[in-house]
Order: sequence, then C-alpha cells, then structure tokens
Amino acid sequence: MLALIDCNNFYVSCERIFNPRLEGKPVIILSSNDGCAISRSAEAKALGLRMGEPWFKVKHQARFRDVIALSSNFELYGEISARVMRVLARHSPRQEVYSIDECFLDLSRIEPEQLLDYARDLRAQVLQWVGVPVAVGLAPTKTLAKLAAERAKKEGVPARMLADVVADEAGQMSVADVWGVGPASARKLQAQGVQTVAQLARMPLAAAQKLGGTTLSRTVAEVQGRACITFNVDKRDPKQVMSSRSFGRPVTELGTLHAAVREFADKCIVRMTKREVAAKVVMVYLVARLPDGSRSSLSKGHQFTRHVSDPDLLYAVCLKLTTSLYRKQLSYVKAGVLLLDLQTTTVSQGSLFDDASTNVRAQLEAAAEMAGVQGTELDAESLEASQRLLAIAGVQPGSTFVEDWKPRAENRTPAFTTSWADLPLVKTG
Amino acid sequence: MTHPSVPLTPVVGPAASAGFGNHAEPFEDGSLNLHAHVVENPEATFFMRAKGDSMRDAGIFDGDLLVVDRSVKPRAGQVVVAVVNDEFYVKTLRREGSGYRLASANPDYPDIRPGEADSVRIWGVVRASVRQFPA
Repeated sequence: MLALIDCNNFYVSCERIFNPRLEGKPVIILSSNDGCAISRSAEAKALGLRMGEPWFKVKHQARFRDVIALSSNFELYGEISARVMRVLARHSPRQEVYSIDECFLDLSRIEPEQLLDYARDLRAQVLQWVGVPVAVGLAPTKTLAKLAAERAKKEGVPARMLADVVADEAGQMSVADVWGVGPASARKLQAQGVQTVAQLARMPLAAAQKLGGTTLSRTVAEVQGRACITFNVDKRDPKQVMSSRSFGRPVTELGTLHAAVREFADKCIVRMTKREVAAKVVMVYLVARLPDGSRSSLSKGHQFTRHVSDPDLLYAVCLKLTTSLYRKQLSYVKAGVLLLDLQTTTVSQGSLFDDASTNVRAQLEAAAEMAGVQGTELDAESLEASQRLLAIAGVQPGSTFVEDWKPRAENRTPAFTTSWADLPLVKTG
Repeated sequence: MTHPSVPLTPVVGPAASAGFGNHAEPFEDGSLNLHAHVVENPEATFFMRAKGDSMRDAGIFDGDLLVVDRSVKPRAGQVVVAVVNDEFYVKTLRREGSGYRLASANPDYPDIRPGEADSVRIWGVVRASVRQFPA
C-alpha cells in the first residue's frame, strides 16, 4: 500500500502556525500583486469564496467582510514544506515529493491492518511537530491514493483507505476529479456515458486507450488497483531548484540585475528540464548593501495558475519580480532565482496560446498572471482582447517590457523561519 | 504528545532525507557545531525571540533567542511557549492542584492561571536560549 499525504489549505495552515488568532477564521492568501485567492481556509470556502477569485472584484461584498486576506509569503511556505517532507521522509525508504504540499510514501512495510492507525499517527506527528494539518490517503496505487486523500478531506477524517473503488462511496465521484483525467478527457468520457469513478473502473483498457491514449488507459488501470505509475525518487533536493551568485562588484543598474536574474533563471530552467519537472512558484531574491554597511535581503514570489516550464514565461515573470523589488538608491551584492512546488512534466498542461509567437505569448501570459487574470479567462479571449491585456501591462506588442510596473500594497507576514530579523516574538509576561 | 498504537519507528534517519544537509553531525573537519548541539529535532524546532523581563530569574532576558521544540512532551518544571488567548508567552509550566499554571520568574509579574473562559495550549518546549552580547 502507498500513501498520499496532502496538507490541508497549505498556505493558510502555514500562516496559522505563527498567528493563532487566524484559527477558526475565514482566511485567504493572495497571489503576488494581491490578485487572486490561491489558498482558502475552510471558513473562507464556506462563505462561498472560490479559488482563483480576483480579490479586488469581490472584497467589498458584505458576505466577505470578515475575511482576512494575506499576501503570499513563499519564503515561509517553502521552508515549512521542507519540514513536512523531512518528517514524512523518516517513515519510508521511498518518498516522492509531488508538490509543495503533497507527497507519496511507500508504506508497504506496514501491516495492512495497522495502516489506518499508522496514518492517523503520522498525521498527529506532522501536526504536533510542524503545526500543519494533513490528510492521508491509503491505496494500492497513486491515483487511488490521491482520491482517498480527497475523500479524507471531504469526510473530515485524518486518514482514508481506498482499495476497491466500485464498492466504495468514492466510486460516485465524478471522473473529472480523477488525477490524470484532464478536462478534455473528462468531456469525452462523459459523452460516452462514463460519468463516475466506478464506471471508469469498469471501462476496458482498450477503450480507454482509444479514447484518451496511454495516459487514460494507465489511469484506468490505476483506478482498478493496478499500479502503473512508478515512484519518481530524486536523490537530490526534490523540492526546489535554485541558482544564485554574489556579484563581483555591487550592482546599481536595473538592466544589469535583469541580465543576472535571466542567467540564474536559465540555470534553473536547465536543471528543471533535466529533471523533467515544471514549477508552480518562482521567487526572485536580492541582497542589498545598505548605506550603513548592513545587508538586507528582499524576495518576491509569484505562483502560476498551473505548473509551467516555458522558459520565456519564466524569464518574463522573473524580470517583473526583479523590477518590482528594485530600488534606485540601493546597491545589490547578490541575487538569485528559486523555483518551488515542482511537479513532473508528464502531468503538466501545455501553454494557453499555441498560435501567437513565443515571446508575445509569454509576455501576454505574464501580464495576465501578474494582473490577476485567471487562466480560464485567457482561454476565452480573442486576439483583440489579448491586445487590450498587453495595453494594460503597458507593453507594445513586440517590444520589451515597460519597467515601471508598480506593485500593490502588500499584507505579507514576516519571514518567520528564514530571517533572523523576522523571528516570532514571545512575551515573557 | 502522541501515543501511537503502532510505534512510529523511523526507517531512515534525518541524514538520509533530502533537504538541508546533515545537521546532526559535527562539521566535516570535526569542529563543534553549535546548531546541531542545540537543535535536537530540526523539523520540529523553531526560533523565537523573547520580549520583556518577566522570566529574568529563569535566565531569559528581553531579546534572547529561544530554541523551541514542538516534539518534546511538556512536563512541569520546563520552560514552555504557550498560546494563551491567541498570544505567545514563554513561561515555566508548574503544577497547580489537578491542573497547571504558567509561572513567571520575576516577583514583579503575576503567573498566568487560565480560567474557564481562556484558551490555552502548549506550543512547544524551550530547549535552550541564546544570549548575544554587543561585539
């Protein structure tokens, strides 16, 4: 049996570790530039706040009056994620870190009748040691384990086993909820009368192959309880890719910083390609030397709506982040690019624009992302509307980026676990 | 804090897990590693900063760095970080009748005796504190 451990509302949970007053309240985390909700507490979900909801559009609604909206703090989330993964790594010789808040563990060494208790204790340990609540799905295959974890969250239980999907309540779930079934495949399946997971399990593999290729037939086999998707065990740090360097001489020009950041992004992309992963979060950090001689480290991150590996998109976002961090009066001594929340590219989706030229497309996507426009909205845009988006971003199609993009006011918590200056304060009396 | 029905015996030690390197060992050249000495369980250890002087007589002063371990089961007599009504406090855990109180270490400050309306939980146990002097 294997397990999928999935953190509950991960970014919100991280914030709650150091801010107990956020417990029990509707809390959301906003994407960079305070655009959309990228994480919601259970209380926020209950108010009807949808994932990816552009916050500025809905924040004035009376029902959202009590919602606490925080800017994303990727330094914190990355560090807490590393802790969770290290705790989990102690429990199995085979671990695959699937994303910033999910990991697969091979638990075949545990006796089947002890699995549920073991999983409950695993959850208790992560909650006690790191402060993050997780749900555990147990199943013979990765695809079923993912479904099981979802059931655990839905049912409000710490751990859930799923072996025979036909006999289980999980069989009633929609095929669209199955890992590996994309929206296009879901539509095709539903058109053929395959609506539920149980029906999917009864589908002959040959039919699945015909409908959706190897991806779908493999998924069906997995749902039937036959493991086809192997563990991706990467001995190197699976959680992030980083490239940075101290400068030979202090840098004051934005253009020079851009060139350096592009170089670091390049190195990260090469490593990502080698490891066949895509990233969901990109962070740029700069270290400045202040007039008094001390050093100040600043970082800014952005979470994409999906895992990306397109170099031009990554460059475009890195450059924007650099621009927004840059201050004319400071001299910079170090910079770096960090990619978090990595996922193997076999499950990443393609880019949204297939016909536009690479550079323009990347600029469009970056502009849209940073303006807080959702991926699905872009799908529906005509070329004319795309030009409008570019105009919003202040970009003439075909030109380089206008570099005076101003970030909105941020409500970001301190870097509690990655900066000595930001440690949580404890009253002695 | 957990009482597992099945012992959670780690299969692999922290050294084998991917991440931030082998922090349980001294440095490669054998030099003493203060971090490894003071941080017993890295995944469960957090650093915090003490504010105020109500724990002065316990040797914790304003501005001291606290090494807080969430995996240690709290016992009476230990210095703990507690969350009382959503605020962090560092106090000594002491028995009081059938329950506990959070004791200050300075006669000028009262102990915390949580009442029925208060919410209290132990966030972690202070294993060490670090005091730095002006260089």
